Amino acid sequence: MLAIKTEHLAKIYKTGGKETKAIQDLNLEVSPNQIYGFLGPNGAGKTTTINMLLGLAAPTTGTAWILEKQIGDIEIKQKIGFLPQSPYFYESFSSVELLNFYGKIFKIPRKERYKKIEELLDMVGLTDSRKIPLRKFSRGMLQRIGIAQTLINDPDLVFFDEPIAGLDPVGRKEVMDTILNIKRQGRTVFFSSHVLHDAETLCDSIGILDKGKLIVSGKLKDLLDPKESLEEYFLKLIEKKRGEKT
Amino acid sequence: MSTILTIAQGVYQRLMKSRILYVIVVFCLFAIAYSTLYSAVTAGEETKLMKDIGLAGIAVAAMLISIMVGSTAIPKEIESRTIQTLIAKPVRKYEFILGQFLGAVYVALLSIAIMAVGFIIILAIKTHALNLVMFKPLILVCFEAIVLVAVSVLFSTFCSSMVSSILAVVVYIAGHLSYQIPFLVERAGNVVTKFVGLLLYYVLPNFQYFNVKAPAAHGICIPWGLIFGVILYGAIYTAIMLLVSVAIFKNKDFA
Ligand SMILES: Nc1ncnc2c1ncn2[C@@H]1O[C@H](COP(=O)(O)OP(=O)(O)O)[C@@H](O)[C@H]1O
Ligand SMILES: [Mg+2]
Repeated sequence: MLAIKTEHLAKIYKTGGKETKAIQDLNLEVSPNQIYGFLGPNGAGKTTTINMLLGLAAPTTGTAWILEKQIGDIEIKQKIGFLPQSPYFYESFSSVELLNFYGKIFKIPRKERYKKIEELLDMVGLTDSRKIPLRKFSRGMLQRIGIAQTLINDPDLVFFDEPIAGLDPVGRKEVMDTILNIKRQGRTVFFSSHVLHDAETLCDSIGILDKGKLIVSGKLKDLLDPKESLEEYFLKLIEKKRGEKT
Repeated sequence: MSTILTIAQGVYQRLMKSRILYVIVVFCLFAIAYSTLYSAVTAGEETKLMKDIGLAGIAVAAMLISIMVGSTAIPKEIESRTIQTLIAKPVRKYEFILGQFLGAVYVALLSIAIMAVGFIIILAIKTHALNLVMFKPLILVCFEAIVLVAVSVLFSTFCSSMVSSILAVVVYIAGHLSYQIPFLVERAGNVVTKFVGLLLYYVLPNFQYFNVKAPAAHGICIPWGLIFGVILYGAIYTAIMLLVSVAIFKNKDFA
């Protein structure tokens, strides 16, 4: 069983007569119960891929399966969580109102929903600011309520798009700890990042994307030499790949 | 169904936290109260004028509110990208549209209901009688509001909230004048003009159907048959607007 599998997935954006091949022929396999880091520089196509997997954007060609179900099947969405890149939530809602709203979307019965909301607020340390409208939240707090929101339905697979970008060191550490925690709960985590150092400490496996193409994918410990940092490996790889093309 | 209602409830909750609605409702009530309680018109003429002013005031406020809530609901979700989090959950696109529509309609009707009750009370104070016949034209104001929300929602599936609301105002005005098109077309010699004229006549909502304010204010009885006919017309028009909205939305990316 694979958590994620894509087959010749591609997305071409056409804007004003210009074509952008955001993703080309992506064949990805992610096994469950691990943290998978989807890495690559800005504009590599990470967000585009995640959007296609979640049904926010239609693939130009190819298809994908999530938890063995083909994308487009709404059943999949019962079992996944998603935190968009630089997320933004209904600013007039409080944390409780937001989680309650999403809980109702999943049709979680009231009693269970309220219990879950308390658990999640406690987990991300927002219990004390539960009544404050989200417009007054800091970047880090938004990220935390965003993470809490991904877990409301007890998902098997959680997508985080750039969850650590734009946070201060404390915020980064908190988010990373939370992600590790989520994996310990037996869930699969798929997260994208252009910050390699964070990925290195977090991931079991990685895939590296450059200019819309997957250039490598596998277990971190198989890919790296013992003394090599991910950063060094990454730069070497990208240089090599770009060299090949020209 | 319950997904649609959950989304509608969310729209309603958020709208109720914005002050602008209260401002419009309260302003409208004050305007009616002021113009009716202090109008120095000869007796007899008085109540007729009061009813005219009151109904017109509510109709205008209802139009403003309907267009405002209808044309902002979806663009707000798209521009703030809250739609991404929502669509990634088990929500179908048609459920998203219908939820936004119903939430906006609920708020529009609630505002009209508050203004209507206020109006009847003001009338009662002035005339020492309960003018429940006034509810008939108000029912049609409600249905006009529903159609107008649907029109605004349709525009907002492909335009910004600003552009949608301007277009909806244009449709509102044109929809109140369109009943004259057949008379104009008859006189037009050009075939193309005739064709365009008739096309517009059938595509635009015929809002004049919903306007029974003048006869009501003059105490003329409006038959229920007419009211139900107009309601049916409004329901069909609304359904078409929503079907087109869903069709437009179906193939949209939210990246
Ligand atoms: N809606 C869009 N319309 C046109 N081009 C887009 C759109 N979204 C992304 N792109 C382009 O696709 C490429 C990949 O973008 P993205 O997936 O956001 O990369 P990443 O998340 O890795 O930074 C970029 O060149 C970007 O400009
Ligand atoms: Mg991105």
